[in-house]
Amino acid sequence: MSKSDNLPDVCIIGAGLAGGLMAFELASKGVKVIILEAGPKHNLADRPRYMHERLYNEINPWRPNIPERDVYTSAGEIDYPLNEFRVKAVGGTTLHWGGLATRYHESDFQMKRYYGLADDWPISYADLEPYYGKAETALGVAGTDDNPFESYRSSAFPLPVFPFNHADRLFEKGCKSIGIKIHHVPWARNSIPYQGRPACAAFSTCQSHNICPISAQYTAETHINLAEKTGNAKIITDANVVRINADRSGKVRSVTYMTHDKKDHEQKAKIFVLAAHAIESTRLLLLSTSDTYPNGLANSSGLVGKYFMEHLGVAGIGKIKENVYPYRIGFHTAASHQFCNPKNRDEISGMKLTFRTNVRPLPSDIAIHSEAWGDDLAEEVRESFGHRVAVSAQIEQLPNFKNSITLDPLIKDYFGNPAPRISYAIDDYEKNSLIKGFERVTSILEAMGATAITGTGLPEKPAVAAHHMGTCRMGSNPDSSVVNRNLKAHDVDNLFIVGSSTFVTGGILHPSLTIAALAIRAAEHIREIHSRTL
Amino acid sequence: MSATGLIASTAILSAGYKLLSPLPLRLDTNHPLGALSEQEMQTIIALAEALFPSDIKTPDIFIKQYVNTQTNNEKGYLKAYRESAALLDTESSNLFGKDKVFYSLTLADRNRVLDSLLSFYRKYNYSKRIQKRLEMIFVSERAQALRSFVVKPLLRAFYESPYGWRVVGYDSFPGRPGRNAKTYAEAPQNQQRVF
Repeated sequence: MSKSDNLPDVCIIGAGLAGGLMAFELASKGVKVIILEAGPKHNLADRPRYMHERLYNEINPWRPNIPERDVYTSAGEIDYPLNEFRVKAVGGTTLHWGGLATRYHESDFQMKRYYGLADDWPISYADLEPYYGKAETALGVAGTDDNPFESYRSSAFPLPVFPFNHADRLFEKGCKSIGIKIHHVPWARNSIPYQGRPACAAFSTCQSHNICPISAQYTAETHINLAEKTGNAKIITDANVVRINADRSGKVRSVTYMTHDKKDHEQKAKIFVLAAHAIESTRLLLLSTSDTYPNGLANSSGLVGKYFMEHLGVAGIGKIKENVYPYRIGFHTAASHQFCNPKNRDEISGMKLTFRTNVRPLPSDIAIHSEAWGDDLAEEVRESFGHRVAVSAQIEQLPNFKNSITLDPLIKDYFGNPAPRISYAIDDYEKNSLIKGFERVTSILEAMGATAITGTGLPEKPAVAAHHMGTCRMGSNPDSSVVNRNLKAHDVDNLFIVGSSTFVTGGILHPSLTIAALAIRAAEHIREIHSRTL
Repeated sequence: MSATGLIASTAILSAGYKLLSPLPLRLDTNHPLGALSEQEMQTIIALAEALFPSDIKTPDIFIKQYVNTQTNNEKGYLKAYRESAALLDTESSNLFGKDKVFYSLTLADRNRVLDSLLSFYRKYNYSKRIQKRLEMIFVSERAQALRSFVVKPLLRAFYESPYGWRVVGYDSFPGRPGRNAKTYAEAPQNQQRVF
């Protein structure tokens, strides 16, 4: 607590990627931090058991630990499967993420300027570039600069790249024949020991089962633990924040949280950071109404909860004659950003291409779907395994006012508060881009000689990437945004909102590194305030 | 209507009802947990020998541990395994004589027993939906249970195990890394080179 009293300087709500990095960045510079996390803290020593249970009993340790707490409703054209994607625990969604740590491209921040679409961010790639470097160092990103389509970088990757897998040369050959260049993939996964965590040992369960049993893949637990080690940060788990309390002057004085036994507790602090993911951050602001903030906290613009965005993905899967020997490592090692910034991006989204060899069926899948047994079945397994490859295209969804998070008028959660209500749909821009994406991935598969090509994620049954973005967008104008370029709420002097909820547009690439870079940047800003006033 | 006519009509109605609304086969979870007798286990091991490839030796202890874990922990499996062992013996007697039990048969004869019980699934390649409807009529419930609760789980257990991965030439696989972190970028050593 600060020198003069026992009040923490900063209270962070949510111990995920943004919250964890903020906690460490602040605590390591002497700022006293308290972190409130709704879920439990999982023990790292349990990770091998989790992996085993996931592999053989299909038990997902990251599913909500109190289902009644995490009720939600889906009101849009697309039934949004929220609880498939969120994790409430120390580490947040990094407990089940894929680990992809890509920077956004320069143009992703200026869609209006370059393409006349949506709005520009109030910060540019140049503003964020140094923080991308810091984020890569913090997360331990393994990569190399062979991606000619990436925007400039002023720092090298901190860890050596994961080389192409043996079968990537098949993708490379097919792509080259139709003028597409592939390159390596940056991963927040240790290629060598880093931060006290070991190098990847190829348990091959990171992407397929969302568990690294040895913590070679980064999770935000790393920075929560580092923050605690400074002696300046304390974490409280099972702390479900249900209200942010502002006084008459408009400043936040405390938050109310409830524990599993439904008892309430109050936590005071000088500055508050909301890092509870795009859905819960929104719900909390909307629940925190008062005379000063009748539409919810930080919501004078009426935009809290609006412009919810996702990434969408389409994939082509085909059969090739060569055996690609899949599952020797748990993640893909080749991608292409060649089509991230097409000239006609105003009509068709840019797209990121991913090349995968870890494509089911596994031997056990073949066995249980076959009606053969004995030597006949073994022959069938030998012939079928290892011949399927996938190429996927991830596309951008433009911000749309109609895609929103509101409070459900009827359904209440475990604590008696309105559940989040998700209204989600996709428009022609996304639908046309998915069709174009499928054409492109099909052309690559055909160039590789693939047959029996099938598609997933087409507009009739779109597949979202579990990247929740928007809902508390940043901007310079308080009438058209919720937070400013430093992620401070326009309406509230001592409230910051971090995470992908603040994204103005979603870009093409995975959002995690941008979340991390923005969090580090916002922490720097809070430290400046701290040194001046706290 | 004559008695024969009544029986025929009832059978047709019953088949029609099953076709329209097949009930999914379920484990009988009212049955207690427990372990198979030694003889029943011997029958299941003999079944596994027929189900698994002949060129990969799978130790009996692997099968015993898997079956015991299921019958002692998941309600309904003890009954399913027990009835399946009895069914295999009955079919063995039907095909090869009264004193013939399944585990005493040669591998070829065990395959004939399995063929006799499960031929419906091998012969007719229907969609899953149609298959579900037809199996209610053409396959006995005990044979359905043998397939769903004994044969399929044993095959899954085998092909998820190191023995099953050996079928495709893998010593390491998801959950068991071996040296793949060092070698994944190179041509596989244990398998035929393809590039």
